[in-house]
Amino acid sequence: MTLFMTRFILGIEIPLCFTYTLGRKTGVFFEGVMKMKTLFSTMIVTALLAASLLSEGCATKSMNTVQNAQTEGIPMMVMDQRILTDPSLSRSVYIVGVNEAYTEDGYRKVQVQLYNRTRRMKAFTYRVEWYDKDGMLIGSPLDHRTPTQIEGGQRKSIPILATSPKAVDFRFTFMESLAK
Amino acid sequence: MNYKFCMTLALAAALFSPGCATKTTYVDNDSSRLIANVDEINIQDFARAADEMVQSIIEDCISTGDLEGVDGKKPILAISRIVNNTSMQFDTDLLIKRIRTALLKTKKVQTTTTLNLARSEDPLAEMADAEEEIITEERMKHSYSLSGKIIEVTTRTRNLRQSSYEFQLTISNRRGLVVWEDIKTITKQGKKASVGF
Repeated sequence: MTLFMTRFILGIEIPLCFTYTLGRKTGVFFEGVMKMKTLFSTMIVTALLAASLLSEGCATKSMNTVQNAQTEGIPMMVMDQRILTDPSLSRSVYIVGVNEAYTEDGYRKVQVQLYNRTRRMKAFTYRVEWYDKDGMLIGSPLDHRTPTQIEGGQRKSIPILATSPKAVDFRFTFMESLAK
Repeated sequence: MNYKFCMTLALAAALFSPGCATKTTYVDNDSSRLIANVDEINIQDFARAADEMVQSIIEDCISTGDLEGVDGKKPILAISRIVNNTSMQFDTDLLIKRIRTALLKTKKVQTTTTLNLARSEDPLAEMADAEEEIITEERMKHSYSLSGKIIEVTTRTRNLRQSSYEFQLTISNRRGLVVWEDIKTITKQGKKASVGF
């Protein structure tokens, strides 16, 4: 019962470990083994968690979008290869695709299209590495990780222009923000 | 007595254990584990602003062929005044040198160490250039100049501070006509410095 109420109040964003603990305790409760004291402490923990998640700082705000129905620009999509090691991040910072273009002088420009499939804002950092025709990394004094955010339900495009004419291949890396 | 001794020993062990020691570690320049301050422009902010400016210069100016040199030669870009209008004191070369290095690597622009608004960056090259000027009776002239300003805007609520740093750069030709201009803003919020961003 407690578990059901918690899910109903908080939506689908319940941390997995808490669900497990709560479920185990609820099961014990229905078996008649849980004492009154344990029940109260579970309720207090549930209330505190609900209050913290529903507070202003964590309020879920999703973004609505409108655009022209028949887009004139035709993006040239790139076949990509993905290595996902953080499932939580790939839910919030879902990579829709990568398209490319070239400047008049032949500099390569790539654009990563992202979509936040959750209702929660996600802060993350990204970096792009450029490689030459021999597969060697092109180092630069401009190398850095860029911190950014994506709101719930937002579609975001990150365009990057290669600052070296030698750049032929690219690699984007995304990482959840370390700032607490 | 024995109890006190044990307690002291345990406390000392806890304090001097490796976990509590403040170690100095090296961090990659492109790491997200660098220190970030609200009321300062950190090294990663200069790199980010320079990177975005260089991308803009290449896309809007170099790639389109808008920068033209004299007699088919590469255009010479000189560095003019870069004004620091923030409350911080820093060397503007943290921004400009990065931009200059990246532009030189494009092989489409020539930069110079002698044509500067202030003193020459390379006095020896300046002397040699002066000698060359006497021999050839021809003075090296820059085609374009880069100028700019860095501005700070701060605001705060009861327990949160916000600082915005606006980087404004302009490339002008010899007549003062602007051939490229852009603005990049970096905004930071927080209470205190943090490791990682």
